[in-house]
Amino acid sequence: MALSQDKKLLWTYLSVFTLIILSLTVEQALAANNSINFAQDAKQKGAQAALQTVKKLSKEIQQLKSEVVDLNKDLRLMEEELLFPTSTQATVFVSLDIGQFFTLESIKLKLDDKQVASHLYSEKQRQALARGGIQRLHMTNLNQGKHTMSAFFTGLGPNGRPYKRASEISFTKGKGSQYIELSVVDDLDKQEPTFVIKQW
Amino acid sequence: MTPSNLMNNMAFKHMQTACAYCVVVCALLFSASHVNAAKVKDLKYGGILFDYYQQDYFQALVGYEYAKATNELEHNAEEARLLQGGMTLSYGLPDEAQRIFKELLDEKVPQESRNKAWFYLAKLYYQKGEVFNAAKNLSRIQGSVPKDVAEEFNYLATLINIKNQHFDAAVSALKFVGKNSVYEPYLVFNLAISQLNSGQEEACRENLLKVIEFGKQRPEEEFLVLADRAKQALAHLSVQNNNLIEAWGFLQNVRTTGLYSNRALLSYGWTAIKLKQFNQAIPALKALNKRSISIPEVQEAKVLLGHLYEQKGATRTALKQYLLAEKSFKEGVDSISHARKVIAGQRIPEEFVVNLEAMMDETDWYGSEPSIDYTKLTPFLVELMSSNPFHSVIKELRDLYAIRNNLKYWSRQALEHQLIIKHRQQGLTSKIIQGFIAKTERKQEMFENEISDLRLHTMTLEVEEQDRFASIIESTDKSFEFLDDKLTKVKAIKEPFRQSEKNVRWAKKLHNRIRKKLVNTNKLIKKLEHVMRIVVNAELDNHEERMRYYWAQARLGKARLYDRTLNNIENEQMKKTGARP
Repeated sequence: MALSQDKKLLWTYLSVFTLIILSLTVEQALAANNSINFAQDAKQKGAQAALQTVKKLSKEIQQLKSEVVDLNKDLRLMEEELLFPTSTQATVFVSLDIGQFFTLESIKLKLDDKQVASHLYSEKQRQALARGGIQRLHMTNLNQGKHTMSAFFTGLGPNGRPYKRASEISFTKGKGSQYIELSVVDDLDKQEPTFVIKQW
Repeated sequence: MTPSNLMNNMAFKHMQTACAYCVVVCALLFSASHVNAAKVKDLKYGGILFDYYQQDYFQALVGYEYAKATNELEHNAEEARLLQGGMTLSYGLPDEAQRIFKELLDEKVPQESRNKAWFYLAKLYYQKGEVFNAAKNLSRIQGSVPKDVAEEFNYLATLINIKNQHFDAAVSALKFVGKNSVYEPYLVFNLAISQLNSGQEEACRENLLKVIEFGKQRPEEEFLVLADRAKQALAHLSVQNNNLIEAWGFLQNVRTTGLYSNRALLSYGWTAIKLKQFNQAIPALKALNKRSISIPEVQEAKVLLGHLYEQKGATRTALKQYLLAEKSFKEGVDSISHARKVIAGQRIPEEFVVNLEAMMDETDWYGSEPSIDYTKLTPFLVELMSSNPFHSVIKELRDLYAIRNNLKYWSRQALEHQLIIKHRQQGLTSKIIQGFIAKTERKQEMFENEISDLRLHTMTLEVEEQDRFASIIESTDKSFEFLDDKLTKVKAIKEPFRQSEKNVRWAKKLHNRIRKKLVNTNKLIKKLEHVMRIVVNAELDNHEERMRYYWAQARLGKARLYDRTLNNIENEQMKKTGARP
């Protein structure tokens, strides 16, 4: 019985002591958590060392990037030579001048009465066109001689109304490669868009 | 305005890299706008711009090289060269960009292009952290600053002044930054932080208040986020000055959603506790308590909330909070182990890197349960993402994955090239063509005879019946004309088309280059993925240790409450039995 009471007494002292220590430390511990270094130093140093190796790899990556750009240029030249030789090559481009009166949504392209290309524009592409970018819409092979091309433009016209227009051109394909530009130009006098197809 | 006015106070001192992240963000913003509604005279230059404006620098650079190789940059050659320099820099090739800009400093190049080259060189040096060289290059601009880079020039000049602690010059330069410029709030924020670092607390306060005003005038997300950061910085200053009421006022106005709300809610809770306003602290901590366990502030809030209830004497609620916190910490540690498995997965780094932008754009990701494997990683990597070295690893990896996809595309194309070449090599000979012509001519003659018979036969029919056949006969005649035309063209072929041996060799050589580059790319990807895994695992260790620390705190809280309860029961029993403690 006496032993049991001693045990109880010891248990009570221990509990009170723990309680005091915990009460004192808990708030400090919580408040000071920002200064605690939770990371194991060795592992964090390992991570830092690994990041340092990236600096060394950077030169190799830069070289690879340059080489791949150059390789892509060569492949493009070779592929065009293979698939679209200069004597038969014909390319169609799209440009947009300002685009205040017309929001381009899509283009359909017909060559000698056959539909050969169509494109739906994203906002990013529209912005790129409005800022001076020119899109390569279609590349093909054409015989020398007479051809007709029609383009159908769909989008939103003045006052946000749906707007559809078509434009046509007859051209004679010569010996060299042929460039044709489909151009949407704002007509400030008429306050409406005009659609032009021109040969380069 | 001349460059010397803005730069005259620069002492070209090497500076610390405070606010580097903010600067990087802004630099990306202006790099995308350094050509305005260009005057395009060369079609191919327009094609380069089309890719460039969509920030597809790789394709734009290929487009430039292609146009240069085919001599199709006649009128826009200098603009295109400048653009190439800018794109090369944006594509992570600073050394090459530097070489391009230096070439444009040649005296034969017109003054305006030369000035732009000086400007871009300065920008390049600034991004490399070489502020001295950046300032030196910027001051070399002769005469007036080109119009289309004027705003960026002011921006860069101000950043350099801030870095060099020439605050008066920076404030003057700020006047030249357009009133609606996106750069202005960032510049003012950066200026404020630099002023604080150099002990100009009052000036810092004024500028932080300005940033808050920007948020009110332009309530777009990015400016609101910046305003939140300014409010937190002001609250931090007030706490340092022991003005808890003022700090609390700033913190009350920080939004309770978004990435910076966690720190704000916790600071708000702590400030309330320090002011003995326990009831005010509880809602903020409760709001945090509902968020993802991966957030350090949430972990702290869970234990703090239990402690607060304890202080208020709400023992049962406190015990419940500690028990729930323990459960959350266990789940948190489990999710860290899961994240470790995710990062060890074969395809995960690629999915993670490629989708990173979309994931980081989800401002409320912490409120939602991750549904895809790689999104389980995101919450643990937010802090890591703001470190520049890790960010460059991600950027390089993203570029390498894109290169690998590009090379895989060309590998598939190579198979097609070989097929075309093979067919052309085994294709028509002069003899085969002659045979084909003879056969076709025989067929043509036979068909013409048959048609002629039919034509005669239709003449024996009634007039009405003859009309029915007239259109069919007419269209058949047209088909014969078409056939005639084609046959004449084929007859004109003296020798069939043969793929030149030179081109065949060229194709083979290029196909070999694709294979070699693909091997090299995979090797570099492997190395960078290894680095990424080490760094991510170290970050996960960091999270796990923190989580276990708070878990232990919750356990201690629980033990403390059990102890207290046991003591109370014993005391009660002793009182009843009359025994002495």
